[in-house]
Amino acid sequence: MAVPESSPPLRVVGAPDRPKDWESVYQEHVAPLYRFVYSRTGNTPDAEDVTSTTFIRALPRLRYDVSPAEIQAYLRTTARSVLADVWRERHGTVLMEFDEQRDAAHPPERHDEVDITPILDGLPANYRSVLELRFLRGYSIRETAAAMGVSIANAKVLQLRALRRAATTGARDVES
Amino acid sequence: MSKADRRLARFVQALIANRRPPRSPAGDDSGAMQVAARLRAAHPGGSTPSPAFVDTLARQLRETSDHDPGWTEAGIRRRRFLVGGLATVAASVAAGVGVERLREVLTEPASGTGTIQPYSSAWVAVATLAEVTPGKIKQFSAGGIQGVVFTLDGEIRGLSAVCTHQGCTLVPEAAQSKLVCPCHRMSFNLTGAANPGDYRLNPLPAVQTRVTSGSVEVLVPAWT
Repeated sequence: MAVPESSPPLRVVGAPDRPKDWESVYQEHVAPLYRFVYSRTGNTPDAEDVTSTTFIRALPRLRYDVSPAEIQAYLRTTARSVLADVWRERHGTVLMEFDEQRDAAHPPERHDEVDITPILDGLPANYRSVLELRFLRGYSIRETAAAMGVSIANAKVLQLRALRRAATTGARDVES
Repeated sequence: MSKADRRLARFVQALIANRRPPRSPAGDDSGAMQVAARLRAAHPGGSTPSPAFVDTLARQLRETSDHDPGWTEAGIRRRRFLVGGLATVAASVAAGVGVERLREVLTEPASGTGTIQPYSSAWVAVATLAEVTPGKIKQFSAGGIQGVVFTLDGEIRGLSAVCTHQGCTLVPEAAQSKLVCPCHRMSFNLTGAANPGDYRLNPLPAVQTRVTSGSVEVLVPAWT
């Protein structure tokens, strides 16, 4: 059967469901990207800086005729490289590997909200408590010590030990 | 508490106060620091960008885009469309500029940042320790890479010495801790970032370095 010459093209460039310019890409992606970055910086000033740098770097190279998922993947890749620069510059270290492995194993959407269960699982109860009080509730060392019924010096050391243990547990998870 | 303990405690303290953590070597605590950031990020109410930030960044991006319409692909399209609509001598001049700009943007490297990671690589000695004492910048050419090695923040580092604009070889100005491009006078600082100037440039890729028996070695492509 002859196809009429006037048959519409399969895909129209700039179709309504696709973002057409950087402004719409920005509006759609700024909050999810910020959440992604914040989950890896844990503080507002760094999260804002890394998000800004990521958009400044990525927008000029982005093609706008690709799917939102592809745009998100590109933004995240760029953000990872910016984050890696921050860690290298400031602490002389590399980004932990487990990010990439986990993101490869699970759809990235799953990591919008920070899931810290794998970090806390398997830690001794007092380590878990100190991390929850300090990081999730934002207790001071003094408040943490009071809540746990330990000395201030003890609470201070406990939080460091708990973090170090959590880091090794995370590393083991990656290898398994 | 040990020195490492105090460093990690300061890092934690900054996160809980929602401040940028201080610059300090991570040592063995790289994992602990990154776990700390993750945990802190999980506290209720932290992970939404403030409306003020979203607006400010949008304005900043808009200014960049207005100042330099070739900045984004959409900007290029807009500009070409405009140029095509004007049949004057001025338009042909402008068209030349537009095409030039287009070429420049399209030939921008896919990734100008990060560290050079050759598929097949070799460590090559390019300097003695005496040549990279603080305040000095040593140029090298090895394995097809033109670069520089130097000391920054007590650490020996390497950077590509090829300008990310049009590929001119950068000239070290050790006294000012910068690398200057002879073509358009853009310069880069020793972290590899371009100093502000007429162009908006990608940072210089880093070159991996190590010290072996008094020599500074860089990781470069292995020629076969």
